[in-house]
Amino acid sequence: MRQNHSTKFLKPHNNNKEMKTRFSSSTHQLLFIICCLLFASFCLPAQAQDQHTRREVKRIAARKGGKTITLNLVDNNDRGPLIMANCQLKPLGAYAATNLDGIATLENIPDGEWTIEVTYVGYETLTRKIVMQGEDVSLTLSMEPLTLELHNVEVVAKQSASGEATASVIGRQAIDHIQAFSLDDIMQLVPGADMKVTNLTSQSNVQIRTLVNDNTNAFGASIVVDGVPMSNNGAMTQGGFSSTAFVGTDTRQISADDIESVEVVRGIPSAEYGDLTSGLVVVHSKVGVTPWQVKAKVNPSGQNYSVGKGLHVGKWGTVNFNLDYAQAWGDPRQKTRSFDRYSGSIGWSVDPSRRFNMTTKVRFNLGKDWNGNDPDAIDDGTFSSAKNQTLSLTHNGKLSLGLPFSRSLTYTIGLSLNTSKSRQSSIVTNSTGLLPILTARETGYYNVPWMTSSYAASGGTTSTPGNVYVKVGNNFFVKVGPTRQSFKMGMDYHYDWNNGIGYYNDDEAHPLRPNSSGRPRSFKDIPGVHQFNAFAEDNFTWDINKVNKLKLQAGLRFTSFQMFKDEATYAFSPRFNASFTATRWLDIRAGFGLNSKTPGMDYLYPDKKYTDRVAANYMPQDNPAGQTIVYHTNVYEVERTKGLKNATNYKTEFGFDIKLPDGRRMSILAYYDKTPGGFSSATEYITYTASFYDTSAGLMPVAGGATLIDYSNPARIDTVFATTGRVGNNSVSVNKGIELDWDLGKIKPLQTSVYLTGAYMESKRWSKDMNSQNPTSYPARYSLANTVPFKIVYPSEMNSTTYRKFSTTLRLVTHIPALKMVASLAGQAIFYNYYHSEVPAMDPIAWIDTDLSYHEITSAMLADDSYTIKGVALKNQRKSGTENEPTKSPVTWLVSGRLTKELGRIGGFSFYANNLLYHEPWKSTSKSGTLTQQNSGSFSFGVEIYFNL
Amino acid sequence: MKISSLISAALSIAAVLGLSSCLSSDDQTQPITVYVTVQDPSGLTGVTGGQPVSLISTTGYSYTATTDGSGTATFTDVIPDIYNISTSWSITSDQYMAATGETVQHGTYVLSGALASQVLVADATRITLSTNCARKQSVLLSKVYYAGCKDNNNKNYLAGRFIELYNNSDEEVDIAGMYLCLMESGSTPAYVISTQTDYIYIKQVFQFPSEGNHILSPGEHIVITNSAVDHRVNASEDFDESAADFECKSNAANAPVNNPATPAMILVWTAFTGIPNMNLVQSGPCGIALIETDENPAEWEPVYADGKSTGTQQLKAPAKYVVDGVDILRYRTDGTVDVSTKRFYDYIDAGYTNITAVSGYTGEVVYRVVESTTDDGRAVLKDTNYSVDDWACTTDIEIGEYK
Repeated sequence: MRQNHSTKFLKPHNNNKEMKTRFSSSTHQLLFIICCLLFASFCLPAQAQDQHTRREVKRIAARKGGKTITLNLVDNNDRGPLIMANCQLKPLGAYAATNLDGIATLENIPDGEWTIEVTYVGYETLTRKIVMQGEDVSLTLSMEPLTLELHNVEVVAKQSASGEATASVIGRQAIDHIQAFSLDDIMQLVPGADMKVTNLTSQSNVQIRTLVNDNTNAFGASIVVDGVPMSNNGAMTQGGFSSTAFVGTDTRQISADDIESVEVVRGIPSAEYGDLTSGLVVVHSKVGVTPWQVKAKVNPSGQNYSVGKGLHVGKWGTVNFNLDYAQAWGDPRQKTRSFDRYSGSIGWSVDPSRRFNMTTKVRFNLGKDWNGNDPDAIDDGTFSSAKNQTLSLTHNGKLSLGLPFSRSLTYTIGLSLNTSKSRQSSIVTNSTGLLPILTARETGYYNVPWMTSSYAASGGTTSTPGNVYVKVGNNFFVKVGPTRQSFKMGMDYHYDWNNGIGYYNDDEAHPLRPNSSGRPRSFKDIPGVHQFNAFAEDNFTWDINKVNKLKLQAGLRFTSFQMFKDEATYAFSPRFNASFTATRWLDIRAGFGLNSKTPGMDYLYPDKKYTDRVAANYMPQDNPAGQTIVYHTNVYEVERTKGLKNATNYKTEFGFDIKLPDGRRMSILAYYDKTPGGFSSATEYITYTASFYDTSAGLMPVAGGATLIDYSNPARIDTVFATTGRVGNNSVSVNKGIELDWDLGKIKPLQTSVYLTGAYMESKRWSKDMNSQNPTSYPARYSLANTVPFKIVYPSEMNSTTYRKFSTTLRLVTHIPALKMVASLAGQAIFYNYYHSEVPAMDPIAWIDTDLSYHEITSAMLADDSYTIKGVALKNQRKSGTENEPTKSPVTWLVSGRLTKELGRIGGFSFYANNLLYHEPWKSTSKSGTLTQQNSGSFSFGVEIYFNL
Repeated sequence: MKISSLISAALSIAAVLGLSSCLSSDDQTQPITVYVTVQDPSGLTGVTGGQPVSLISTTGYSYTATTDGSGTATFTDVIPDIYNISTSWSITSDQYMAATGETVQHGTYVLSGALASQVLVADATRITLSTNCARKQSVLLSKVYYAGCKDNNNKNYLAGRFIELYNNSDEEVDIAGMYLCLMESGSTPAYVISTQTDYIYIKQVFQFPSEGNHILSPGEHIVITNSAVDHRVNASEDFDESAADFECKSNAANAPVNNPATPAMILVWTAFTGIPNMNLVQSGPCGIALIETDENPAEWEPVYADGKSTGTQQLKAPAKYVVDGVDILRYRTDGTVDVSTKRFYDYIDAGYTNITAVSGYTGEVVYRVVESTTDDGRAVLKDTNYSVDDWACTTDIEIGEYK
């Protein structure tokens, strides 16, 4: 209960020991392990190369007692071997990669009918049915390079199969067709997402299935690049909890040109993935042999150039590299913002032995934001800039053991070292003519300096989060009668730290933020965070008969965070996805799952809470020497947020996949996502006393000299309410809706495919934090003293905001293989856009006195119009009235057109125009007669040209 | 030439001629005649006739006419436009007593009426202008500097804002005990003046103390500020207020410098926690009311905006106690003033005034203009209860200066 909170201060917590051991012990050990594994990996290839011959293929195929599938993978054009291609046997999950001769072997395969799926960078995904009947199978498969000459091109997002996590898979051709600069642009292909203009000049995070920017949703959107999650647990913000601060991963830093495919999981993800709430974005970068590719993209607000190549280095496997540069400046008429991105990656994939395949990738990314005066404006020296550089490593290994309960062992190692430096130079506004410079870090009374005019200041924040990630997994499968089960299990460990110095001023006498949110805090002092997870999952398939089939994905994930510490959090997250093929044309799908996001360092270890108030303010104009300002600073050492839990998201889905003739399909899915414990500030009061001195008591003016203060003789002793700055799980968000993803087939005479995606979405948010406020209409003496007589408490969870939207996107994709050309026209209509802020009538339920005692307010008190609390009329605290009228925006639509044309084998070009018809009408909402421009700023165009050398 | 081509050409010529025949010189804008009939104020009879009535358009056209014996002013050759219509004249207390039959104290009574934004496009338009009568006040609001300015680093500076009062009478006036009130200033008014006429909503109430310069001689002014210091040090465009008469003091963390030598205004009520000094809004609206009453304003009812149950509460003040008021409205981006956000009834201020910047920080001061000068050189400020005429805006005026 609130009344139990003591008014005493906590002693500062000494983290020094923890600081010293934080990085040195665990991180160094992990780095050592990583180095050993890498060293071993480099040594192995030399021992193994001689074994890679075609003769061995035959030997493997003829192994005694084994039922082996041997695949020989070749390019359909030059018949050359394709090395390091991924071969997966579905639904068993057996996996192999082709060796230097293009050969892959899948061993100990039980009898049955299976589907082999082969993927390779730059080639069309190949699927083939295989029937095993007690004999080894040897196949030569030829893959087609991706080209617009093929009859199948995918320039829209593709829905995942029933029985798996609901996801949109976006391939390379789709990424090329939308001319994406970064992952942010790719996200617009997801059902329900708005078509938008490329804008690299502001940070962008992933918001899944929500209509409102939600910090927990963004913080809990996991982006996994080549098996390693981009952790944001070490990111820190200055000051206390902010619901508007940027959280999550900045998608601008992921260059689109190095991506092979993206899978956006909106539904219940596999138990293999964790530390998330709203969803998951899985990014696969390019691995394998590719031609030299040089790309240039230009539009009025930015440009992007890249060069990439995947080459075969003999017995050393394949090496890929990609260099990318992007520049953006937002509005070209006003160059007040700019963004530069330099990124590069080098990857190496090799089979050290027949059973061992590994891929290593090192990435570098440097993003530079700048925001300042237009070159034509007066340069007053003000600007803000941010430099964000990341060096990361991902290493994935797969060991095919072929044992009954360990078909393959996988491991992943990730390391990410980031440095974010923001700098700001500004003139600090001093509109009141008196700006105290508050720098106290301990509780007490301080004579403070002050400024009477605005002043130039500069400083910044340096944050250096780092992350180590290690994961091991095991896969095996079992076939019993008509059922097949593919199991995977594993565990992973994350460690996040931040060695940044945090916020700093170049000149402490002229601070950038001369108030309580500007107190420096070294991020080095914050303990690193450990996370250990384990998971197990069964992918169960039951072919009941020729038609009916049941697929079930059942998993459980265990998450532990800061294990064995007071602030530790634990979570079990069961997850289920199921589908039942009821008829040949109908799959019924359903799912339920829990996702859990750990708080991260920022929420778990909030900054100290500083509360400053004037203790004396004496500014005689005839005696400058006597001018004095004294502040009382109260420093509350926020406890490590004990009781803070993971933000847990509950997802429920139900839908139908209808398969129609000629490959057409209609998918309708209803979802309900609830996050009842999202991260937010938690109201928790403390009170303390602070004295005030004036010339009636305490302050003793001295003619021509400094004013003396008798601290033992205050004119007034104020009891002050302050909040502790705690972070809690008080934000509640519910997202529900219906998603449509329809492939309406091809109009053959026009060679045009029709796709319709869309969503009806509703996002509702409210807070379950204690709803307390200052009372209204209390005597003016409290305002003069800047205190409140008490806090008044209203029912919680009554105020809410609701957003609703129904939008559809119709895409017409005309593909003419003979011309090597694909053109698409996308029309997006937002039929319904609704916002409602509900503020119902409320009566207070309690009041909190200055001794923090909690007093309930009864209905009898409320009925008594003359009832007062400490001289304040209770009737004035009742809130009666009408609801705010909902705002409904008018129907808006826009059309965009895109064209991609290949020029033989040497390259091609693309062109797009967004809001092709320049439809930017002025319309008013249902609530306001004011006309506002719709689709404002949505008109844009751009061109891409690329060469394959 | 083929016959079909000839037919086609003939039809085209005929079409052009046909369309041309639709045009007439009568479609050009024609001057119009407007009749404005001034009504007697409620309770007074026979006071109209011979009064000046003015039409002033938002685009700069201006006309004046005098009412005839029936109270009607005739304007001829008026360019169609949107006009503010106003009239104002004064009568003596003897004339007032004759018109009402009441016995009143000696003084001057002002009769005024105004209609804002009237679309006058039709010829022979007839307008009826109702009027109000109010006793001409001795103490008037004479300047409001709410816009703030830019400081020497071109940053916003608000500490030097002030309100000035002026004794417009030929008698000494004691203002101790009177109340200086700031009107509620939401972007949407908290109350609609057409739905009630008895109350105004105010956000802050300060009382003049009985210390300091509370007795004003004829033609004397006083200055009330949040910070009685010389602000020119920080902002060269600002004012030296070190000699200000009263200061609204604050010990809040973001308060400006208070001068211990300046007497404090007494804070009676404030709508805002932690804002015990004047909350002038630099962009407007920023209406000010001077109130004289024996009631205790702190006991007036605090209310939310009409139809709301949350937000800021204002004090519901009886309008009858308003001695003087000036409606200061926000200047919009389209260069107009939204008169629909007026807070004062016509009998307090039938007009409004404003600065000519959307966001403020321009150093503009709104001030009451001089109507006449007495033989001893004392300025008599214009007080017709129609601030569009009574007030002006400038960046070139000093404290205590009248023009």
